[in-house]
Amino acid sequence: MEFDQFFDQERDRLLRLCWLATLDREAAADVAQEAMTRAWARWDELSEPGSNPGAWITTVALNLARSRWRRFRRAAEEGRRPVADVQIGVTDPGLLDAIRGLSYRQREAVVLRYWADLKVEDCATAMGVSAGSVKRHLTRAHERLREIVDPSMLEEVYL
Amino acid sequence: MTGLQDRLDQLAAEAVDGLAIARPRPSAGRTGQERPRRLLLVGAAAAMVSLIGSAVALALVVNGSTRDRVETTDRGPAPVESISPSVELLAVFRRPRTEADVLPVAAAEELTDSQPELNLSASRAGPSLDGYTVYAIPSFDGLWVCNYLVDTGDSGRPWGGGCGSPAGIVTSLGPAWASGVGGIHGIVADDVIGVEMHGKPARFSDGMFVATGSSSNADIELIREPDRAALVAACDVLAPLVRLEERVNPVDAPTVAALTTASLATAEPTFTDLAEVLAEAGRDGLDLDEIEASGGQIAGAARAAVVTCERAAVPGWAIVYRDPGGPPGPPPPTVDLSDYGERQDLAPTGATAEAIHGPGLAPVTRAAVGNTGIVAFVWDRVNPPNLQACALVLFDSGSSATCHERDLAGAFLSIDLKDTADIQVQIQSNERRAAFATAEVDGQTWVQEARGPYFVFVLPSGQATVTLYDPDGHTTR
Repeated sequence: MEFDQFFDQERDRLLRLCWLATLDREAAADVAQEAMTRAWARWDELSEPGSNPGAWITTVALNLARSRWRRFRRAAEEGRRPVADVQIGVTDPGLLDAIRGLSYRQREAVVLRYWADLKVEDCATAMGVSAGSVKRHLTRAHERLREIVDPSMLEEVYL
Repeated sequence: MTGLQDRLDQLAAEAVDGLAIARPRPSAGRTGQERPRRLLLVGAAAAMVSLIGSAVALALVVNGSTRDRVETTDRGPAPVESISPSVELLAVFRRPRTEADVLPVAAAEELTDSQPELNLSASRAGPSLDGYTVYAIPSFDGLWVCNYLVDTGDSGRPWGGGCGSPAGIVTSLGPAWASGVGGIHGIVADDVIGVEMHGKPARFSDGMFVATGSSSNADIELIREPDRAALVAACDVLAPLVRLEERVNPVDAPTVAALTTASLATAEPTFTDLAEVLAEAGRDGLDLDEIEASGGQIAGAARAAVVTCERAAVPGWAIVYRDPGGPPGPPPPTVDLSDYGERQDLAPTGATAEAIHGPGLAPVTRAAVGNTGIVAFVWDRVNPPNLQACALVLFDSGSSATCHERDLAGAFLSIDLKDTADIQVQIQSNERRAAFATAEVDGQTWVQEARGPYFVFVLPSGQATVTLYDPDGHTTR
């Protein structure tokens, strides 16, 4: 696959992933741009047969987003940066509020499991944690999501 | 899609509506398979802007020299000059903080796609640049990269203008910038590392050089990176930082212990990219002849470090200036880091920004004269184990320095990291035989092999004693 094709194919998905991870437009664009640039820089390797650039860039983007989130959280805790609370116009504010209410890791798990449709094991790989940890995050997330999501949409998680 | 998947996707789609990322591309002379030099741009950049409506002209012609002049006049439009297509790719500019900033990040082709509000053809007349935003876009290989000058002015009126095909995307940055603060704000060409207007240095803030004062008939100078060889650092510097972890007892060396493998375990540690960029910058070696010079160049080098770190999205860093010493000259430049509050707290000892950049540091930087060096340390100690560390070292031989030779092998480096995060750095040269060095702090000893001409230690608080050894283990200093 040529990089241009990959870029076209992944761009929108990457931006959405990054926003879901960060809930911040600016951060999403930054992270997506950085991840894509890194992919380009390593395209020789990523384009080899057997490689999975989509999974790779997902992991990279999540790592970047997580790192950024930690910085900002700390800054916010110390009062040096206002907690991001930008109101955006969406047609599903209930869902937005719900995922805002999740911890970062819970949100990551939900995004990867339900939005990216990854298996728990693949979620774990992308998040850099164990499968059991992913399940725990999902279980806790479900408690909040059940308020606004049909419980039948949430898979049973066996810890 | 499941219902939840569908809702999440719809939510995300709405949230990112209007956002765009630039397609990384090779720069002129490169193939698509080569690594982009995306963070640091050096080289003979040439950018030309000529613009501006009927009564105002701003012409910027960059020819690769150290200082270039931008003049604004009230005498009418400047001629449209050709664009020198030699600016290398910078695919990623830091995004300004607010959406009102209108995305000066993306390539112009994406700007035009995604930002229909950009006015590419309008023109206006006015007595000065006040209130207007000027994007200058050098081109190469059909790719347009956004450089721009922003003139907030007093009026804040939107303005658009073009200046030849297709340089000069012009737009208003919106109310965020129409703050009534007169002056010119600008992110300028990629290798511009300093801006002076009316003889006063511009402040580097949030990815931009900000100069205040009337922009009518403004006398603006762009300080360009002296030479790529002037920026030295790199894998040679970074690698020891990482490997140092293996050499120390984490309990006894909390600063070093912060460099956990977790940062390496990520798919792409941030400092890797930075290291590569810096390595590329320093690959040609240190040319002190090029950088032995004025405080302005020191400032430029330091600003280059700032820009590099900024563009690398390195989360924590600080820069320590050293007066080059020698005969009385212009005072050491200062770098206003106050705009990096989110980073300043990341110093190794957790000091506050004030401790790093404020009065606590100033005496150190001023007093420690007689030697070479600007040292920038880059930290991310946000929350272990998500840590990274980088350092880059810039040298300025200064007027009194003894290291005019290109070969700085045996550079002597001592670091004093005190609890207040004061950083004292001494770099000396002329020990060409040094092969490794030891640093001792409070009875603990660290060993570093020479990495090129450098020895870099990250040490716990305290005074370090550094000893250099030749390859046979004899003390050389």
